[in-house]
Amino acid sequence: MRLAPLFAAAALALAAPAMADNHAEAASLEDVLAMDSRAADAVRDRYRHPAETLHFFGVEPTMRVVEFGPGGGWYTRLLLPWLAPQGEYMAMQADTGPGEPGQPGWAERFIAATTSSGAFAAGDITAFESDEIPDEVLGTVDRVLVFRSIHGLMNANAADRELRAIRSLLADDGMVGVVQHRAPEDAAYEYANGANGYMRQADVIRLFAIHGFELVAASEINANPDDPANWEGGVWTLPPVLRYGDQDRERYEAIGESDRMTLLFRKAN
Amino acid sequence: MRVLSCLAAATMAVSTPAPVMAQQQEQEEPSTGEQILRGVLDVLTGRDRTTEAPQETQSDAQMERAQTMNEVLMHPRRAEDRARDAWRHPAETLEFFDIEPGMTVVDYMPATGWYSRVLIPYLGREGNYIGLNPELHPDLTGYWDMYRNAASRIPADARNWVGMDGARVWGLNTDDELESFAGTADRVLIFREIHNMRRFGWLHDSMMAIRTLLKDDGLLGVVQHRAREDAPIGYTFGDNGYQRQEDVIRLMAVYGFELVAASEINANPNDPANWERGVWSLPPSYAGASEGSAERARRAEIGESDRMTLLFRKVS
Repeated sequence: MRLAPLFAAAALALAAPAMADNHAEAASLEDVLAMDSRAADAVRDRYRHPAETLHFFGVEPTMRVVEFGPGGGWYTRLLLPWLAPQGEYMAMQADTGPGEPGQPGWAERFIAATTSSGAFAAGDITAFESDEIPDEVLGTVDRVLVFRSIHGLMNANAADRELRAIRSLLADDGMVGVVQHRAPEDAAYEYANGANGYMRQADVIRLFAIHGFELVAASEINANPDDPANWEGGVWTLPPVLRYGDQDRERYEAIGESDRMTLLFRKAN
Repeated sequence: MRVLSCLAAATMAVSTPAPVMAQQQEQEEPSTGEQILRGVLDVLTGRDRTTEAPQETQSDAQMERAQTMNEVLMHPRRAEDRARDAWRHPAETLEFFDIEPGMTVVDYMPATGWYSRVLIPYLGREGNYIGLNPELHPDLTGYWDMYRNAASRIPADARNWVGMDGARVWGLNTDDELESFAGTADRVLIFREIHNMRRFGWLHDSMMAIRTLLKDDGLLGVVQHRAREDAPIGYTFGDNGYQRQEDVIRLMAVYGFELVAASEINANPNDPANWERGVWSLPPSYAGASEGSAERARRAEIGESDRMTLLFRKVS
């Protein structure tokens, strides 16, 4: 039942005339990671450990995968060519509310930005906001991946709505992979409430439990013990944002990107 | 591990507020905090106090408070409200939350003022009552308009509810400037609104505002429609009113609040808490049960919903 639309989608993707050559057939994750089009992105691999992270989340190239809040598309440029030939890549954004009349919505803008390089075809990407999830997607998704977005959901009052939407996407045996900036367990609540980007791992696990998710496993793949995770300027003090510009830049670059938790959840009752 | 932290929390609750503590030690009477701690200890040790000798006479302060509460509850303005006392147990609930005259108390979403008509007179001339409403999304209109402009609306409503009696009344929306009220509240009370905070996207801003308003040693009291522990998650997101007690405790932990004690004051074991149309199936709404029907009579017999009653303290 679930496989039928999946294959149909893959067949459609293969039949798309605008399909670019570099992903007309299945490529291994290693091949995709080494693609020239990722040259600029690859400098972050040492902090983001994409191969290890996707392996930990149990993502397979045949799966139907939703990336929540793809942002600037760093993971999109890896997931899309890897998944499009045999599986399916979809992007979901937190509901942005009613847009400007006559202006393109988030989904159109995201697809336009992702395909602008010519490396990807619009037919390869499904994108939607959380209040416009296509009916045929509900309950069919193998993995939802949430990279560094939980604090933003908290700050935007949107965690309840969006975690609920994420759950509605998942097949019964689907799972959610989460990477999130991590505050020390003994961080003061006033620091770890999301406003500084960092959250306490126990709080993230509780938040998912409230929304019907059970922790399957936690990994230290994306840990960075050199990050004290107490910056006055929040996580944006560190690369890649480096909010203070050249001030103490070498020190921040030596630390690298933030300390992060890597959590895998399954649906529970 | 959890037992220890729970005890630690109860011990801390005992140590507040200091002047009352000193006064009651003098009289060798347990403070409410101590009673709560004893209650926690009883639960942990499986001891049943009701089988023991009745407690000694109450302290003068306690008797005075009980007297004040009794006068407030019996006031003619509560003639209609009183029908719900059997389900809402206002005296027991406010005692469990350790509310005293003279305190500054935040009431989250006073709505039509059922609890305001108890709290404002009970807090008295020395007290402050702050009605706190969320920030309303522009799409929420009609019924929801009454929650806007709390700064002017709630004090005006209070005049209609209780005249000039009792505490000084303030109104706030969570997007108002809270700075001048920061750290002033002894208690924050959330009566049956957790499900709305979740489903309408008020949770984060409201909990952050509540933390801002509450004193460091202040306490948060929550009454909430309670789903069965094994209720399916799809039933407990908020649309049916009911929440699982464990989820509410987790939710408060995410916002830096630790459980001090839980009470069954507002429990109703006759509520199956699985109504297709949610908690509004029961009185006072009776959704889906027409007037005069046998079904309505059956639900009247059940009464208002099963409810958890939880007391939390602010932790770092």
